[in-house]
Amino acid sequence: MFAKFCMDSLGRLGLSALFVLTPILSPEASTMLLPLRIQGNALAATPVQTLPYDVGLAKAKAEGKWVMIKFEREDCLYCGQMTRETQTNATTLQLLNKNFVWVQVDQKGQRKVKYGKQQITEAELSQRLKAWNYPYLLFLKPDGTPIGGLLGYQSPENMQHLLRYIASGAYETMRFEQFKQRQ
Amino acid sequence: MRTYGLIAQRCVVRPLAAATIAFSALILTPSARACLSCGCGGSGSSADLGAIGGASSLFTSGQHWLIQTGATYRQVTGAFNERGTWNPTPTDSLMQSYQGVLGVNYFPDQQWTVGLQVPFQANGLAGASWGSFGSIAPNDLPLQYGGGIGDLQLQGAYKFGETLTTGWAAWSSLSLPIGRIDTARPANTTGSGVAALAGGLLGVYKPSASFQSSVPRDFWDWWNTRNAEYLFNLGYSQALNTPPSQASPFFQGQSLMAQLQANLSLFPQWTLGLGLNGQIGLWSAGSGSDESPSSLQWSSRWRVVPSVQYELSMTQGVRLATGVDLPLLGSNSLTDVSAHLVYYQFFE
Repeated sequence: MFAKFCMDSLGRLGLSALFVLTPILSPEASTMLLPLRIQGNALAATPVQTLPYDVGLAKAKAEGKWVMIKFEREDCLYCGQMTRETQTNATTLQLLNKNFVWVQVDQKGQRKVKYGKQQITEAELSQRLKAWNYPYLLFLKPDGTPIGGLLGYQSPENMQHLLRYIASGAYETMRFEQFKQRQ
Repeated sequence: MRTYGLIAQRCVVRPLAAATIAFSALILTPSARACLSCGCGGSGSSADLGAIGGASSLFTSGQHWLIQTGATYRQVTGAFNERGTWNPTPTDSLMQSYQGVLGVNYFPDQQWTVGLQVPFQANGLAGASWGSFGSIAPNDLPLQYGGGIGDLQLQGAYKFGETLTTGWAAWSSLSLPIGRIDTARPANTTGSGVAALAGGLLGVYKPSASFQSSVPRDFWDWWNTRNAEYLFNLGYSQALNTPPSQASPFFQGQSLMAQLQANLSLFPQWTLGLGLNGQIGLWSAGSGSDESPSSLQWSSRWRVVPSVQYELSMTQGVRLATGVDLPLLGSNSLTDVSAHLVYYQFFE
């Protein structure tokens, strides 16, 4: 459903012909659709896979990467804006590819994911993780331990600060605002 | 100039009802989160049962329907006279009301909202009744209860000018005088007797959210990352007609209302709110004839409304609020304390 939303949104911008579909890890894996016309360094514009919750956590554990879960909805204006503006930024993509596994959860989604020993829908997962507002970014350690979350639209610049804040481990010693001031 | 001689016991309930309807439109307004860039959803603000001029209009939460049920208990604590002196309710007297409200809102799209509220009200009066110009009229009557359906309220709002951190909504409401008027037995009165139109403008400011650590290092780390929102609401209410002088020689014809509200999200499900509501109104009395000369009197009061809200899930929650009229800076107005419990549920 989200892929459809992205297609619709970007298609209206006349970019749909430029999309790339990345390989699919599992039958349930979705793929972030990224336009080739990416701001910044085009060489870094490797498309980023967005994975279902359970697949993403397993991948993060295996590769020792952080997990970024983006909770969103099809009818969310700013979720779409983030998709268009922030998640297509070359520097952002570079940071994501290097250090993170990106999980995408549709708050109304009915796709089943494994949560502990249970199979639940993404809508139920949002409830369990108390991700009730959107867009919402939740970060986990490679072992799945929650680090923290940030609510609302994030500009490309803020997103990059956030990714560096997590990946550098600075979240253990200072607040995000302090980290940004030092950048 | 006042016209006390014309203001008989039988007619003094109406202004209270009219004023209450107009004022409660803002009293019960919002708690919770705006649908701005910093997180849509947070159905919370719709937990109020006030006018849709409240932040409700900004919280469609992607759903199309909102059902709200609420209960209110209200006890009159005293009254301001025309000189602004506040006097408590006479000893051994009782003036209280209980209200249940069923509200339905429909959100055809992200901008528009329409709604209907149906109140049911019961009153308990003993040793006193509502007096003229927002005063208390002591009497010798024993405790009496009465009630019924109140005035229906139709609501509409339009959201516009949304930016990353701010939003606006123009709202309006039409109160239909369905409620009963019982001049012989005031406790039975549940309606204002006049149709009233209200409208206003609501503004919301929501600073960018902070990154919230799952394991805060200390209290200040936790406190400094709580998300807040601020609301400003300004409204005006105007009665559309004048009740017959025989039935009610006075009513509150117009009222200017203002509200400031701050909400702080303490935990993912808990939101604390604090509101300051103000009202400046104009009582009008008499029919203008020689026997019933007309008169106008200003009224005003200020109210503090602390609230707490708990979200049961993404689409439902409960809100508990209390309202306390301040015994200062008022005139020609009753004061009360109230408690409100609201349950809300969104549907597709």
